[in-house]
Amino acid sequence: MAVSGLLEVDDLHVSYGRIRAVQGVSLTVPDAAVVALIGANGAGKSTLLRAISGIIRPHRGAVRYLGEDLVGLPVHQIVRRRVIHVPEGRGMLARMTVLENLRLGGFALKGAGHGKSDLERVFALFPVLRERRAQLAGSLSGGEQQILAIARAMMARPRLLMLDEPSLGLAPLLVREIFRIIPRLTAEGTAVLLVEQNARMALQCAAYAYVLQTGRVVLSGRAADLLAAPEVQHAYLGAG
Amino acid sequence: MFVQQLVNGLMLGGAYALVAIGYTLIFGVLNLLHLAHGDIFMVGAYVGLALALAGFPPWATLGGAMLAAAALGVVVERVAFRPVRSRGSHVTPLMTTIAVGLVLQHVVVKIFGAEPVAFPAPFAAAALALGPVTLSTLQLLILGTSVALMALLELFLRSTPTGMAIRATAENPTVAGLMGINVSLAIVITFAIASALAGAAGVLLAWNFTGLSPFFGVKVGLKGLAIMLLGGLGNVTGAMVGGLVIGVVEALSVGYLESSYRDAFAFAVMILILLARPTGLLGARLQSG
Repeated sequence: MAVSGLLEVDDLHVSYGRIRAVQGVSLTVPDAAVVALIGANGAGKSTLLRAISGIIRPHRGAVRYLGEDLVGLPVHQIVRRRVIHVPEGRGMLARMTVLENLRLGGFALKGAGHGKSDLERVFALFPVLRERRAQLAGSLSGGEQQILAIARAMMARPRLLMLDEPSLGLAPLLVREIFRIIPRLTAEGTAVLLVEQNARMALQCAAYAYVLQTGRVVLSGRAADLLAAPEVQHAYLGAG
Repeated sequence: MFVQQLVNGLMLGGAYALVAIGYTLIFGVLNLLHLAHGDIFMVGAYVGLALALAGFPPWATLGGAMLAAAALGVVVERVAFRPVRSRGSHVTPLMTTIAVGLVLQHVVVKIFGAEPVAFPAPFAAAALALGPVTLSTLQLLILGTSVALMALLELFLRSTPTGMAIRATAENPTVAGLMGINVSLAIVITFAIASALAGAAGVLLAWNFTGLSPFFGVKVGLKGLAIMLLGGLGNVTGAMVGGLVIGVVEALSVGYLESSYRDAFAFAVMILILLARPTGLLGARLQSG
């Protein structure tokens, strides 16, 4: 995959103390495409996202976004470049209302004057959030919280959206609902970097995919090719 | 008598609440205790004293004390918190802030002397008789100011983007960062606001007690800390309610028992309430979140 992309991660190394969670990962996310990151628990997928969004600092390598290296920038500066990270566990501000969560989603765009129309747009897409706007986010069901997490990210008008396990703990019907949103985002020009345990759904909705194992990329390519690859079928799709 | 002491207590409690709110705001965003907060309160009162002696009107005395305290709070964050925030244990900032507090006390001793000094009354107070209750215009000013400051704070935290950013930072700094909030800046603003409220409380209590000393902040600071616990850790509304409760308890003990037992009585009531509700008066709300 030699296409030059919106995001290019180059030889990234991340450690927690002595534990080397990511060991020399390189990957590319093209503009307005979905790229899936699959692999077992502890393969380093979430760590990679945390390094891209600036929550943890890699000790080697580069994260080039539109040609600029993001490594070393504080988190809020990266968010202002419209690289939006929906963390594992949804990152709810549980003691704040649904509406306050959504408003904070657009915090980095304040002054741009789009707040109201963005809010109308996510309410139109997810009517349940309009109904529950005055409720505390912590009182929503797991599925509603995941919808709020994605809607809140949309308030920031992401150019690159990183979703960490959006289907975790959700009923199958809700999982399909979440996955229906993703093509809509790319149609509007947002690139999506998707970390998923549910490898089949991730590969079905992605254009490209990377398979991570103990902090390294062991396979990569077009998602459709990986879906058909025997080693992927065997290890991640549950085929004999 | 009872109603009279109730009014006196609300006036005292309003000022205590302003101090306690500061502790709770700072604990909210950092999960750390700021043990020089009482001394910032004291410095605010002395700045007010200097301004009053220089002939400034009451509103300028109050405003100047708030500004000076806010600036001092920002310096304390920079000097005593930021360098040790990410490294070291929770105990380190306790030590650094105790040190800052001692330095502030000694600077004030150097400038104003160690003896208690009189604080000039802001104006010749008139007494208003409302049936059996006598209110002075000074008492009205003290109570009105603390209520107004608390209402403004509540409005700020609820409905401005900066206020929401502070609440988000208090709930989860990592998530706040992912919303594009500059968490370090939110912490600095929190210190400025908390310290400004302490500075205001310093002037209000100096007006009330008509005097102050460089060690005035130690006792009030301790009381503010205890009120924070009483209200529920990190809960701003709890600090308001807790401050009013302790103020009223203290005033009633002055009225019905003996004035020298006021602190003992206030702390005894606090211990009893905490035995019954270990998470504080409004602590349950905090936990359900």
